Amino acid sequence: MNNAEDIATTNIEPTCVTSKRAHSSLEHIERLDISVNIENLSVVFERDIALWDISFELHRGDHLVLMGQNGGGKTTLLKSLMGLVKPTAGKIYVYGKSAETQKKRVSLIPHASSVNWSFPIRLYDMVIMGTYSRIGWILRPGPTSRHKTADALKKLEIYDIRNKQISDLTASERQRALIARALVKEAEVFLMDEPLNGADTETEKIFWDLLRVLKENGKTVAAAYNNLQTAAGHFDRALLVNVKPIAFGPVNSVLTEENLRLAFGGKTGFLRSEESSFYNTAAPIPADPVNFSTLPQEILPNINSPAQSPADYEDHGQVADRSDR
Amino acid sequence: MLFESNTLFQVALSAALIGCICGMSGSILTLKNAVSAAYAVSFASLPGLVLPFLLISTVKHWALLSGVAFFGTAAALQLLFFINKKNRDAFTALIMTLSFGFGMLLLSAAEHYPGAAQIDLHRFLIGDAAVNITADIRLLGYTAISVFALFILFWKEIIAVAFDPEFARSSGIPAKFFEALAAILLAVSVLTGLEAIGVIFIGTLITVPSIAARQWTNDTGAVFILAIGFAAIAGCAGSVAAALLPGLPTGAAVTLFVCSFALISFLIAPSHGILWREFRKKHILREPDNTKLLKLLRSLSAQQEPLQGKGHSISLINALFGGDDEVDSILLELKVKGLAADNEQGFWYITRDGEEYIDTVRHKPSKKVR
Amino acid sequence: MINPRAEIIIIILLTAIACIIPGIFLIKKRLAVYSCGIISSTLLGITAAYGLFKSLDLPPAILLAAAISAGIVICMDKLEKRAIPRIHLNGVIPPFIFSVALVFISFSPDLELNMDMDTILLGELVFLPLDRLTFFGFDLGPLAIYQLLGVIALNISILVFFGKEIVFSMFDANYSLMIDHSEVRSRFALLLATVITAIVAFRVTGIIMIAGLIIAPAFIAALFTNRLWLIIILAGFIGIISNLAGYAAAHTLEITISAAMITTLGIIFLITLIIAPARGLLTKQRLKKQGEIDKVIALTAAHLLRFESDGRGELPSKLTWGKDFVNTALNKGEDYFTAGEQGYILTERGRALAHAVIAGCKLPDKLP
Repeated sequence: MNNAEDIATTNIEPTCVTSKRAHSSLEHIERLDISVNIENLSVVFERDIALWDISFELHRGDHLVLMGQNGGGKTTLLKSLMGLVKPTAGKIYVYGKSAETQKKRVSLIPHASSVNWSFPIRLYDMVIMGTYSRIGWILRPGPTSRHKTADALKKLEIYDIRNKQISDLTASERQRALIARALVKEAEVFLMDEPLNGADTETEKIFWDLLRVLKENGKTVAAAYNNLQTAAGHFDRALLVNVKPIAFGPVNSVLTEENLRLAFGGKTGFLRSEESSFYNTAAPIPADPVNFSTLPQEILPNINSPAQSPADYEDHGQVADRSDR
Repeated sequence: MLFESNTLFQVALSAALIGCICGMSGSILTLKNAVSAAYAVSFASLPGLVLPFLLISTVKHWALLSGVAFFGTAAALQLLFFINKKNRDAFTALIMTLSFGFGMLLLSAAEHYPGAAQIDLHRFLIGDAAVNITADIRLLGYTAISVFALFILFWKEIIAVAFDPEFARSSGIPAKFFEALAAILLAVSVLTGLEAIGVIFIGTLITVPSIAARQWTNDTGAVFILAIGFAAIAGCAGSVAAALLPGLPTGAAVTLFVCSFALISFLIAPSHGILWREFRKKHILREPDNTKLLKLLRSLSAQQEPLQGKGHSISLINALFGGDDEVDSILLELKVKGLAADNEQGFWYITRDGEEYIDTVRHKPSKKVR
Repeated sequence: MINPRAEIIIIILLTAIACIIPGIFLIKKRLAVYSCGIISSTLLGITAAYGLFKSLDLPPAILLAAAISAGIVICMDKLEKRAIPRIHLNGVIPPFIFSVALVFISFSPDLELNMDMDTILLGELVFLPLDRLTFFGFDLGPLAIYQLLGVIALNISILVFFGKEIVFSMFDANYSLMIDHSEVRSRFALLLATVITAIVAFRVTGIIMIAGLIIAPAFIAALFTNRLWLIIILAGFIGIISNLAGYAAAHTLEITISAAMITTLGIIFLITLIIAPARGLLTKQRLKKQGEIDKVIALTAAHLLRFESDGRGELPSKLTWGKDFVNTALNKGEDYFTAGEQGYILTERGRALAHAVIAGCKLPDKLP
């Protein structure tokens, strides 16, 4: 007879993780090839569930595109990877160690709206802040840091405006500044929250070139990015998230119409009004136990290997509106 | 004569040092746009000031000041940590007035208290230059130097935390620590200046010098140094004036000086100053209206959340544009060119093309929309 | 007429009532600190009125003070248009004006102003009944009562005229952007009402504490409810109670009346902060602790529901979900899931909870 303790300690393998999954939950050795490993991550703020049971794994050099509607948890996921948000449940590992301890190896490009652009500071001084994690206390950035900053500025082609106040920058210039600041940090893992938000075509070009270089150098990238047309061409893996994980895997297999509907179709992820009334929060919660097998599969998406996911879903009605960005 | 000039010199010097300390801690506040925190902390220290008088019949200087420090720091930390944005405004105002009332309560109670009769506690409200004569200049000097040293040492951390606390955290800088440090420095400056300048006015000496400095430059380091200068001069001049003109409250005098600096800075500081703007408007080609309107649309859309996309009503645009003509015709012109558009509800917004246009035209303000 | 104590009590009541309306809107529009500045700069107008009219009894005096203060507000607005941030202006101009006025007052004996420092800072409530309104030889009572009644009438009319706009801009999410004409007008009217209230009532509590009398009751009331009418009534109630209590305390303890009133407000404020039903500290602490447990249970229930169709009832191993998490779930979740043969099974309550959580992507306010 299994008692509670035994059951709880059995190593469950959730079905939501693809491909080879080492038993890294039991072995905390530093595996140099697995750069990011998230297991059953759930984040709950006050009473809202931001993320539920996210699990995936990235290898060194993987470039992941993170897609989903606004409010679907992309920013929260990135912040958790950065160690800025504490998981309610689950674990996050960067190179085999807990995310909070690996801040030095992770670099974040935050969402442009979360930056205080009216602060009196020059572009140059803002970008050089990226070097602070290596410098330590009290010391000022030395010639190496200044060199790296100048390098990054030139790569992003904002070297000429480096003395401008950040309040005077255009949207594209701001994005480039944020990217440069993240570059300067020289991390192994780059997290990006809508790096091309409001960016012009020139910035986009620079950005894709940059991604290519990062790939060549084996850096892992996870970017929240909602432009479908270009995503497939520049990223190799995709994670669709809408609080719950929708799909994860090679980008072309994941970005199917079905999955996208689920990712962008509203938080409940339900498309047909008849179904949604059952789980509508306004509707009373049924008191009797429900026969689960009669419920449509999409209510509880199973993240199998991507090739199977379209087959699991019947075609359920109209296409939901996608938020166009 | 010599005696007079000596004491005058002491008054001036200690006031200058007080000014330095206040100007330094105030510059962080101005950078973070948290100006009212200074007033909250200073008013909150009033009860702490009077309380020791009631509890300990012989007034020891340290007891007095530690009471102040306690209340002041408590208020500062309270403000900087625990109040969310929504309530910060009301909380600050409430801390100011309620502490003042409580302090006055204690004051009036103290007047009936046997041991406190010999101290005129009123002067803690408006300041008294005479205090500076007995003040320990060495202590002031050490404090000023230590505060300055702290700032110089941790300058990059302080600025990083003030600018972007989250990024600072992700770089391994403990944001909470430096925010607490700012609060403590604030309390320290209130402490040092309280007797000389008075509760009501010390907040001004803390915040206004950096406000004035901010008008002259965008460089945070320059703001810091200028603030020290303004504060020191104002403190000096104010307390000397108050010493020479009996009846003139020191705090008021210092405030008059430092606010005059600020007002003058508002007027004449280059690039920010009002007179300069007027001057430039006349002598430089005015930006054509349609380009200006397009820029306005763009800045409006930058302020809105990205997904809202609702645009803005004509009346709002009209109010903000401030031109003589109605904006309707200009908007239509822009719409024809595809640079702006409106939706069914009549809200106008800038289009992608419009944004690109602004980017290209950025350096040629006089170029008209073709 | 009536015994002077009763008159004072009436004055106190009327003051509390007069302060309600400006207070509510100042708080909701986040103008509290701004209004502190404006109120302190009314001192200049008051000083000018005293200088010309020797007192604030006559309407022209009040009007003069109000006009000067309104002029200051307009100047600040104009300067703000020249792109000097309001925060900077608010930190410079009111203290400047206040100091100028204070300088005049401190040389008051020479200038034959009728003012002294104590009056300004503490008010002269006890002396207010001495100024009486006489009408053809009939003594109609303290002038202050009628002045306050006038202010109350003014505030009510402002509420009536501009109420819609004020309320609308209060609840508009983009308030800061809607610098529409009507909003400018209503904001100005509001500030004018505040200024006049402060000028008339400042002799009750002094220029600095009158701001507290205006803001505090409204803020405390707002901690209890969101509905406007309720706030008005509650604010009046709190203002009256605290003022009267302060007055009583002042008499027994021999302290300044105005300070006692404000301190009473302060005490009520602190107590409310802690015990207020939805927003108080105690409630928040309790909710937070409960929330932690709720989170765990809800997530576990949802997880179990999800994997039920696979016939699996196991909780992710302690290493994945965290030992504390799983322990909390096991300890506190007995009502929601029970140990079965092959793992955990959801109870009815647990099932309902799981459905609610999955459907809404949030925890229900109360777990079923």
